[in-house]
Parts: sequence; C-alpha cells; structure tokens
Amino acid sequence: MSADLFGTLVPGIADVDRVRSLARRADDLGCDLADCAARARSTASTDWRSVAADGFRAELAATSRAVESCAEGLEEASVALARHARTTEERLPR
Amino acid sequence: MTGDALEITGGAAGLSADLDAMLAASTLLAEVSDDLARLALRVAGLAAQASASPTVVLDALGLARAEGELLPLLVGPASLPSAAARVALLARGVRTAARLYAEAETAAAAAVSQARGCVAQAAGAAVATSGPVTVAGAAAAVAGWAAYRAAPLALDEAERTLEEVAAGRFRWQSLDARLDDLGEAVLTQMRDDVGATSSEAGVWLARHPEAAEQLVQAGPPFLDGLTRVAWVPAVPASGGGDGSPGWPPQDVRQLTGAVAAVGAVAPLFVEGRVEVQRVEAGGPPVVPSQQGVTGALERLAPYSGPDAVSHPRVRVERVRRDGVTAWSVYIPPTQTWRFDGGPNPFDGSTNVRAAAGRTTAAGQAVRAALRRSGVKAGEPVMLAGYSQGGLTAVQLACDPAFRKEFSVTTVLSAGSPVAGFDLPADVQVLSLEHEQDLIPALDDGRNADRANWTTVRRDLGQEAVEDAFSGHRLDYYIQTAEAVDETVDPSVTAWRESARPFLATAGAQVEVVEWQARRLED
Repeated sequence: MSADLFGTLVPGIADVDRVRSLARRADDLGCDLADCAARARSTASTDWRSVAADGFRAELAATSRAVESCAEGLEEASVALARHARTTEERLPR
Repeated sequence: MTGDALEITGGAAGLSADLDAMLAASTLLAEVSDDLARLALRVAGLAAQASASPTVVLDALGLARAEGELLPLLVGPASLPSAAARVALLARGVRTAARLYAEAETAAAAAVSQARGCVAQAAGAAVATSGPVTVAGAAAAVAGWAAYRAAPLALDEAERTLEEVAAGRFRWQSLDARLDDLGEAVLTQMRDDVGATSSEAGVWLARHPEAAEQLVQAGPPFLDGLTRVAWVPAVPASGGGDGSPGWPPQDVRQLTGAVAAVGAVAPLFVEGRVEVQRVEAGGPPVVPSQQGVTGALERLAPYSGPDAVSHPRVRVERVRRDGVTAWSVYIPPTQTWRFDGGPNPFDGSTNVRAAAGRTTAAGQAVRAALRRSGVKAGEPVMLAGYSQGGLTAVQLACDPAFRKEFSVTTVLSAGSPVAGFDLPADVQVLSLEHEQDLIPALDDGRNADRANWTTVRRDLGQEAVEDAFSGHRLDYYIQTAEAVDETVDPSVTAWRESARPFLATAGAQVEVVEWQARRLED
C-alpha cells in the first residue's frame, strides 16, 4: 500500500488526538453536571413554607439524582472515548 | 415568675425571610435549569463530533460503546433536556408557592382587620346607646375587650383562608361574603358581653393589658360607631383639604398628630432647641462586665430610675478593636411627663411628637451628642434605648437626614412602641416586648416580620404584674435580655452578629462619655 493510499484510508494521529480531546470534554462536562446537581440539592435546605414542601423535596431529589446519573454517564462516555482513542492508536500501522 | 419562653418573630428566620428564601431558591433553580439546558447542547455537540469521527474505521465497536453512553443523556426521561425542564418547572412551582403564601398572609390580615373594625364599631354604638359616656377610658376598654374576645373568631377564619389559598381551593369571589358572615358571628358573640362588662371594663383593662393593642387598633372604628349614634359636636371630616388631621383620626399617627397640632395654639408639645454638654464630674461611667443585650440594658439603668429626671443624659461609647472604631449610643426613656417644653428633652412632648412621626428634642440630643463625640462618616453606629429611648432610636434609624450623617447599622429597643416605622433594610433591629407591657402596644399593632427586624416577646405571667405598668419595668426587661443572650434562635443570632462590634467589649478599647442634654428656653 502506498503512503498516499494509506493516508486516504486510515485516520491519522490528529484524529486520535481529537477523540482524546472529546474524552476530556466529556469528563469536564461530567464535572459541570455534578456541580449542577449539587446546586440543585443545596436548595433542599431551604425552609420551605409550602404545604407541598415534601413534594418539592421529592422532585428535587429525583431530579438531582437524574442529573448525577447523567454526570456518571458522561464519565462512562469519557472512559469509552479514551479507550477508543487508545485502540485506534494501537491499530494504526506503524 | 412564669412564662420564660420567648416568642421570636421576624429577623433572619422570620416569615419574610422564609418567603425571601423560597424566592431565592426559585432563582437558583432557574439558573440550574438554564445551565442544564446549555450543558445538554454541549453534550449533543460532543456526541455529534464523536459519531462523525473517522476513527470508526479502526474501532467501530469502541466508538459505538461511547455513543451508547452519550445517547441516554440526550433522549428520554433521564436525559439532560428532561432534567432541565423538570428543574424549570420546580423553580416555577416554588415561586408560585411563595407568592400564594404572601397573598394568603395579606388575605388573613385583611380578615382580622375587618373583624376588629366590625366589633369596635358595634361596641361604639352599644356604648353610645347604653347611657352617657362618662369615662372615656372605660368605653374604649369595652371596644378593646370586645375586639380581644373576637380575635379568636377572626383568627380561625384567617387560618381557614390561609389553608384554602395554599391548597388552591380558595375562591376569591367569596371573600366579601365570608367577611360579612364573620362580622355577624362576632356581633352575636359580643351582644351580651358588652352589656355585662361595661361597668367592669376599666378593671378588666388593668388586669388584661394585652387588650391595649386591640384597643388602639380598634380606636378609629370605635369612634366612628360612637359618633354615628351619640350626639357629638360638629367636627371636620377626616383628612381635611387643609392638611389637618381631621376627625375621627384614622390611625395612631393621625391621633397623636392631632394632639401634637395643639402646639400650634398652645405652648405644649414643642420640640424646642437642644444643646448638650459633656459631663465631667464623677469620672467616666463604668462599663458593665455583663455584655450582650443584658449589658446594653444595664447601661440604661442610671437614666431610668426615679431619680432619672436629674440625669437627662445620652451615653456614647467608642469601641476600638483591630483598628476599627464603632459607636454605641444609649438613649434614656421618658424621664418627665411634662408637655410644656421644660428643660428635660426626654419628656412627654417627645413621646407625642415621636408617635406622630415628628422630629423631637430627644432626637436632637442624640444627634448633638454624636457630633460632639466626633463620629466620622462611615463609622458604624448602634442606637439602643428603653421605652421612649427605643422609640427615638428607631425613629432616627428611619430618618434619611440622620442616616446621611451617621451610619446606623444596628438598633436595640426595649418596651417601645415602634410597629409603625418602616425600617431601612440595611439596619438590623432587635425589639424586646412583654405581653403585659402596655407601652409597646401603643402603636398600630405587631412589629413587621422582616428579615432585618427581630422581635422577642415574653410572657411575664400574671403574678409578675402588680399594676398596669409593672410589665414595663426595666429590671424585667433586663431579665428578658438575659434569656435573649442565651438563646440560639437564628434570628437573634443574626442580630447578635451585627451588634458584636458594639457589645462584645471584652478586649476592646472602650471610651465612655455622657452628654447632658437641655432644652433651651426660647
């Protein structure tokens, strides 16, 4: 296989770097989401006067859990992207 | 003495603070929702870039796994857009609840006010038709007593209204009809009571000074009921175009304003001009070892006893710590009941003028003492007073001209009628009141429940009250202050923090100066 053909068919190192960058971004977004969840949870300490206080608290807890779950999902995605980058790099012709 | 429990309202843990906290939480949740929506967009962008990556050629399965992790974050009930929407709804719900509570409080207050009006008006009519009104105090006591008896009915109705509004069941169209029903119920209850008690009303009032507050609130409608039935001299309509208070007065401020207006035609209730002189004899006053609120009230004791009339003095303390200077001012109570502009500025004229919202000789004395002490702009000032002194303190804290000259951050009042003042939001106020004290009840009701205004009420118990004014004694207030200093209530704690530069004098450099005040002869 010629070098030109290789360059056309096989992704270059730059693309692997891009995937690594995506993994880091996913990790950062996960941190931001965890921060969002913590902020949402902090409002649960409000001295609610509403008769629906328990309902508010339950909804807040459920939503915070959902956001935390999203943060964990992003962490998993970050790991998967990093692993994909590593695999791609390993399979590149040397 | 019984009844050591303190009833604390307002301040950092008060009703308005709760509503403020709910609105703040709503704002926070709305921000979280916005952030989640923005993050969802960024995750979508990331997923799009990942799925388009040419690296799929070398590891399709690995990339598919990564996409599989990202997809549920963008679509479905556990996705970020869904969470953003849920938080946004939550924010709106909290805000709506806070507004409903505020409206319910207003509706409840209106119900109570209307009930008081019905009762007092009927009481006035009953008194006018049952015979000559020979003792105005007894007649007014009947109105106060009747309003007091009616209060539970009104409060029950208010509570029902509150619950229905909060639950979304209240029909606002029914408000008028319900208030009419309430008035009927109150009238039915009081019909017998008024006749049976009128002869004992004065005695009853002495035994139940808590009714004084109801009495004052019921004043205008009582007068209205009285004047509709009984013969009265022709009087100008309320709120005359010439700016006069009119008749009948519509609130305590108008009532005292009408009295103060007498000063225009007689040498009474005059403010006059006041000068202060530094007290040199006897050395500087002692700084009590007791700190906190107790120490503050103990500082006022020398100006409050039977011999106080010879001590018309303002006490100014300069407290220096770590290069910071703070000033505390201790303002005497009423020292003489003269109304004719005598030399002592802490007199009856100051009481009437302060209640009417007018400038006073006592206020002049405080201003002059601070100027002569050399208080600089921006240096924090605490005003503390008992009885008239507390009234003066709050009045000055609300005076824009005074605040422009001095940075009032903290106020302490004990046994003072201060409910009618609209306090600036940046001044922390602690007001002490006794259930059996007539003096704080001589205004238009309870102190406002505000985040910066904490009121501590204490029930002294009936056995502690020897006469109508014993609930006002300073030594009882000092006992209350001891309980206040021990409480960990969050509203009191917040006020205590604001007062720390002034009251925590241990380890600080404290300089005390007394200023003798005198009203000048014109």
